[in-house]
Amino acid sequence: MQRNEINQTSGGSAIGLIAALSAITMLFAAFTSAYIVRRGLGNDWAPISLLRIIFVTPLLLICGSALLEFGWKDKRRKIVFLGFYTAAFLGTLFICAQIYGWLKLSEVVRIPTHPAATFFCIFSVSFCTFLSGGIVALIASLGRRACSELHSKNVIYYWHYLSVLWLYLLGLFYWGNR
Amino acid sequence: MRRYLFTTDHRMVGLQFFWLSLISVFLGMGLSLLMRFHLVHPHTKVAWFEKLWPAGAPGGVMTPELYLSLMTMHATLMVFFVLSVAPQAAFGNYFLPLQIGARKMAFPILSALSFWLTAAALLVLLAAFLVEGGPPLSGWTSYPPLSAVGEVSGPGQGIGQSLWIASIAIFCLAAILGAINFTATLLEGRRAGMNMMRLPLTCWSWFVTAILSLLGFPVLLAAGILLLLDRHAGTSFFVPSYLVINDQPIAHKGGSPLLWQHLFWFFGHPEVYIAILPGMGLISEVIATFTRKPIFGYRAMVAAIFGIGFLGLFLWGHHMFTSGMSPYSSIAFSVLTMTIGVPSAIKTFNWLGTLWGGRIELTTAMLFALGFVSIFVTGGLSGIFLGQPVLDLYFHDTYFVVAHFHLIMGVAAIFGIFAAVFYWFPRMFGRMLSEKLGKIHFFATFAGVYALFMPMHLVGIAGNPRRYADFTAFEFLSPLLPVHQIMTAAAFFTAAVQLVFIFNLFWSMRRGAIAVVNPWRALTWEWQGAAE
Repeated sequence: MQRNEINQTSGGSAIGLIAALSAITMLFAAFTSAYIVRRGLGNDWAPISLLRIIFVTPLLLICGSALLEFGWKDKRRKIVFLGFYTAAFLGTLFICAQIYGWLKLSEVVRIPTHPAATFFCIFSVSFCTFLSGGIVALIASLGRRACSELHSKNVIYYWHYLSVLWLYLLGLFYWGNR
Repeated sequence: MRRYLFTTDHRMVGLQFFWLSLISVFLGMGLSLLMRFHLVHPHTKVAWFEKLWPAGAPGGVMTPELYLSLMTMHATLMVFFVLSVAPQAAFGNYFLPLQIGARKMAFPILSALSFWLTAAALLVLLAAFLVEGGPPLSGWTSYPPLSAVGEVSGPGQGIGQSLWIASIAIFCLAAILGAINFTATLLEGRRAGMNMMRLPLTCWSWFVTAILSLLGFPVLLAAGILLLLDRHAGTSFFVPSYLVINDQPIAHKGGSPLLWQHLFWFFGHPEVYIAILPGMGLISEVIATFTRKPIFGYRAMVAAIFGIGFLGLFLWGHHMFTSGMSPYSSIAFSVLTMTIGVPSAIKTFNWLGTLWGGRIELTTAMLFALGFVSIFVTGGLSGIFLGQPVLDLYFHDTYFVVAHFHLIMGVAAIFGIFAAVFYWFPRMFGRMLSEKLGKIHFFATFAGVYALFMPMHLVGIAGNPRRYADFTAFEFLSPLLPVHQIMTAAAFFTAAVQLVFIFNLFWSMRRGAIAVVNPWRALTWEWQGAAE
């Protein structure tokens, strides 16, 4: 290992991460079930037109994923740091875009009485909660090891998971609007 | 104080969970006694009822609403804070690392966080007693629409119901954190040489329970979030259109109460196994230890634990046979329900196979283990009837169901907890529990629970619906009063006998005989060290 490289270890709990992701998957599976059932009930379901910016947001996460992966493979401390901080910034931008989306949506419909809008907000708020955790984990994983050691790739896997999850949720909404 | 309160030591966290569930079980039992008293004396005035609940017991007579509140709190305390906590979180945190040769849980901070979230959830739940309207009255299943529309559906359905949902949501978080910790500890924390097929059956059952928790509690959490939104944000997930409650039209529209039932029971049925699987694992070890034989059919036992856990995820519909589901769905759920009898039977026969030809020592722990087998079989047999859609149409919401789930889920699991306490007490506290008091406690409890729950089947067959605060108001049910009186006497007797256990527990902690290392001559790793 060269002096300017990050020390990559196999530490961290892969099983712990898988278990946590299973729980998050079940949470969104339950929301998905509710979404599908509620969509088929009654005649009050109306599609919502989401802002274009919402459909751009997956790119923020995917770019973050790519930067994290690139940094991890490159190993140089500077590149790893750049990847982590950029991903954290893109994640924050994602949350800002979601908040903007909620505000704009609330101008068009009364969210609680509009089932599709309600579900969008539930998915989006829940997702942003987990994404916030990811941003904190990204920054904490760099800070704790003080430039010398990146202990685990778990946080990168978590980010990849979130990218895929958001693509799935947007796909679900695209289907629900048809 | 810091050592006891903010510890991350797995043994201390295990003890914290143990004490929390002990407090909860006595609170829950106290509430059940009040309910049993009211059932047989529905019009008797009790002055302190009015002092405790001025609105719920005006003139000292309990109102039906208060009765339902007590029932809700009893069930919630028992299901969540006793049956989900003691077998898994308490004994699991304490003994899982010891049994696999680990120094600690994989995430010690998560263990502590899980406990403090559970404690917070308990406080939030109990706070429902102090708020206006009192505790909720919609049962531990909290079925909408009554649980979703607020105070219009009755006292306790306002702040009390919101506190209930908040408490359960916090509890779900705690359970999920605990399950992540258990899974990681078991799969990554084992000492060299402890491969999976050498694990004690307790570890296997904690593992499968953790998986069930990971799959079940997030669904309940999601359902709870949606229910809170229905109550406070004006959404309509669970409230149908054109609903009128207490002569007041409800503004929500378009939702379905059945959606809640599906989400709730997807968690609710695995919850039965979350409660009982750890007990199954523990009594397997106890029976093996006190017959001086290895457990009969170890691999089959492991497969049966997985079989029960796996099948348990697909049975939720049998709680909803009367909800108007398609007959084809009913058949599917019924067949799956019957199928779970196979791994259950494997376990039972293997316990009997272990007993066969063994040098049986009837210690108190062993007696409770045998009591577990007896009650598990008795409770399981009534499940066969309830698993038939045609019979369930009649039995649904009668005392037959109450008797069934109390035996299979409540009493069997509690016997597992008692077996664990008597078995592991020397390792936990360095002293022995009194065997004499223990045996008195066992035989009296065993007789008491059978005297309480066997007649309950008969009352259910006679058509007595559950959740009726005053069944004597109905002419066709009045003749059942003597049976209810017997059950109430048995309930008070069984509760009184628990004082023997409490005395034994606290007396033995300070004055019990000093335990030698490995007093039961067990072969598992937790005994290969000095007692605490």
